[in-house]
Amino acid sequence: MELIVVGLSHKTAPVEVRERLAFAGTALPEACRELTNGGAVAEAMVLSTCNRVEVYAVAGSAEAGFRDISRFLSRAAGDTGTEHLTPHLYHYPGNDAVQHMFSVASSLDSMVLGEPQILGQFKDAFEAALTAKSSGMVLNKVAKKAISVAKRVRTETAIAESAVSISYAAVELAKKVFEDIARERVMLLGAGEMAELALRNLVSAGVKEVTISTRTLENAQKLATEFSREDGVNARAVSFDAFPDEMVHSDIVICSTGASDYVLGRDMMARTIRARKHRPMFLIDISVPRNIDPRVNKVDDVYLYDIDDLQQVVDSNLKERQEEARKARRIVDDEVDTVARWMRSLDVVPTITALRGHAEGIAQAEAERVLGKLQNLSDKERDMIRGLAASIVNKLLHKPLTSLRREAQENDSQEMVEITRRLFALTDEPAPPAAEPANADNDPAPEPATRRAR
Amino acid sequence: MNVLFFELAMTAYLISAVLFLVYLPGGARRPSLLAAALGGTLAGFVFHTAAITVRWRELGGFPATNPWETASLFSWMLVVAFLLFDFRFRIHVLGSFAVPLAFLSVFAAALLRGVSTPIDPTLQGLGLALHTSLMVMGSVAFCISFLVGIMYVIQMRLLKSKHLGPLYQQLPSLEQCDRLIAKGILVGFPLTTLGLISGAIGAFYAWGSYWDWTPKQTISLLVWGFYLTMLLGRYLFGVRAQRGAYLAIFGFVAVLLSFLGADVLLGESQHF
Repeated sequence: MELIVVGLSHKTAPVEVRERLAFAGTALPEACRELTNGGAVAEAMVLSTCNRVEVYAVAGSAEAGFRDISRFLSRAAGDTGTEHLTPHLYHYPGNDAVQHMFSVASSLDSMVLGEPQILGQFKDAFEAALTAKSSGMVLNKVAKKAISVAKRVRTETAIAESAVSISYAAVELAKKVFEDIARERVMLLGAGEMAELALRNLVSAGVKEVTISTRTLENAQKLATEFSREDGVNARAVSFDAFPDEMVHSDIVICSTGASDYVLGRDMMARTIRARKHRPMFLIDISVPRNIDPRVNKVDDVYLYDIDDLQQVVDSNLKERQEEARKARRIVDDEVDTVARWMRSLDVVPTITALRGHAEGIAQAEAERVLGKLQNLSDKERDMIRGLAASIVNKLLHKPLTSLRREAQENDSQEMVEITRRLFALTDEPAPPAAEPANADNDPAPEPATRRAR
Repeated sequence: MNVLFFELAMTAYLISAVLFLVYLPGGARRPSLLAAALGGTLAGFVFHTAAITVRWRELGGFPATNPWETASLFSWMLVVAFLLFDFRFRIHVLGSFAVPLAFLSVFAAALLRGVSTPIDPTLQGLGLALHTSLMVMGSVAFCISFLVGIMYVIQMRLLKSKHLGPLYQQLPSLEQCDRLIAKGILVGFPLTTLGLISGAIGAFYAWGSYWDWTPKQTISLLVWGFYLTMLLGRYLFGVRAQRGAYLAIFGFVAVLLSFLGADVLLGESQHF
């Protein structure tokens, strides 16, 4: 049994390909069912976001699994053959698949490194597989592990810490000037698209008082009505001539007029801050060319950020995320090792079952043979003889089975398994255990042995 | 006995201070580091309390008879104030400033121990204990304003320079710093006022005169006047934010100089 992944992402496929393949959330369980319906795939889970479509699966042989999943994905994309999709697909078997899954869930493979949505999407994909009952012991264990790894990465590194978009960076900065951003009044000067976005971010951060001033009062009024209606803030419009007076009551000013010169100079700012009794102000100048004289930043208690400053903050945050990603990858590698050890220990399960079955069979047969000869025994005595046989087997097998398990966890157990099988003349394909519930996470029942696929 | 406790406290403060300084840049992701640092402070506090208690019983009077005892008392109160502050406001990063200062203060106390002056028998009693603890508590409040003032100035410079860093993430917002600076002075000022009054009354009973314009008294009054002006300036003329932070720093430096100048250098045995 081997965990494999087949898929495509923003790194391997353009959006035209990705959009053809994307699965709606409601279609996921059906896709899982289809994948596990006969064929080489025993367990399956489908992850579909706007940047990636991937199938995680457990298959007897990796090659057969890759083939079946590629065919399935091509069908889902509406192709008759696999030749269109194949150049965009990546395939990883075994540990590489585990590594990939952990990286994806931890947002290390995302377009925006550390973006938080992917974990939710991953959880949805896992839920869908559970609904479709298409996940089994291996996938359940590894997917749950992926979720806990992602959480570990989130808490132990700063990968999702700081803002990586300009308008969000402005909000973050405002929070370092003001204690509670919800109490602050915001003034929007001019109405560029970026400025509006920044204002919207501030509003969703809790801002309730907004003043809008544009060169044509009607535009300001229109925008103010829109903000009042849609976002439930107290927004009002003031004429452009009145903005210097209004600014005295504003803590945050977002400026983006179409003016070709500065509309806000150093002297005006110095007057404003005096009138405010030096309560600090945070100014965001998103206009190009700039509308606020950069020397305004030299006025005490005024903090001015223009578009380049914000971009610089974003860039350094991105760089920090990359550094944190290195830490995160170490965590992922670490966790892949523990899963790999667990997966390897699965390899010896069929041999252990066969050996135990073989020995217990002998013990039982011998006990019954002796019991057949000893007629006048009480029930208690008969049980003791059966117990004796069973306990000899257990004690005899304890050490070899323990070292077989340990070997499997620490090294490649192939050789040990071969020797054990030859020593005890075990048949090559032991009978699978009677019941094999597909959906029990901690069920110890081994999969039918196809360990040679490895 | 008190020396042993005192040295244990000093060691705990040193360890805690080092941990807090490591915590300062980007320690937000390392809760165990913070826990260890806070644990160190708490351990230091326990030893320090024991040292002061033992000294009190040995002495049979309030243990603030010479500069080194006052310095020790100051850092003990600073640690108490920091622990309460941390519990109330959860601005752990203050520890990176307060605990090193508390350590330096006990360290200075340990150095000064050699030059301790004999006790003036006329100065014993409840009056002195009250006066000294009020003055020291007031200084501790001013000290918290001073430390938050430093945090304000660092954060302000980071924001102005636009080169943010891990420190920027750790430090609180300017507005919060500003509010805490004002709070410290609002607590410190009445304590100092009461301290001066009780000192004057104590002086009357000891020497029959309320006020003698000794250098120490003069400096204390100047410092008191400075903080009064600062409070009035804040609420009447908007002397807050950046200027408030600089003044809070300046004010405590003046407090420190008045203590060092009058008590240590002039060796005045008079007061605290």
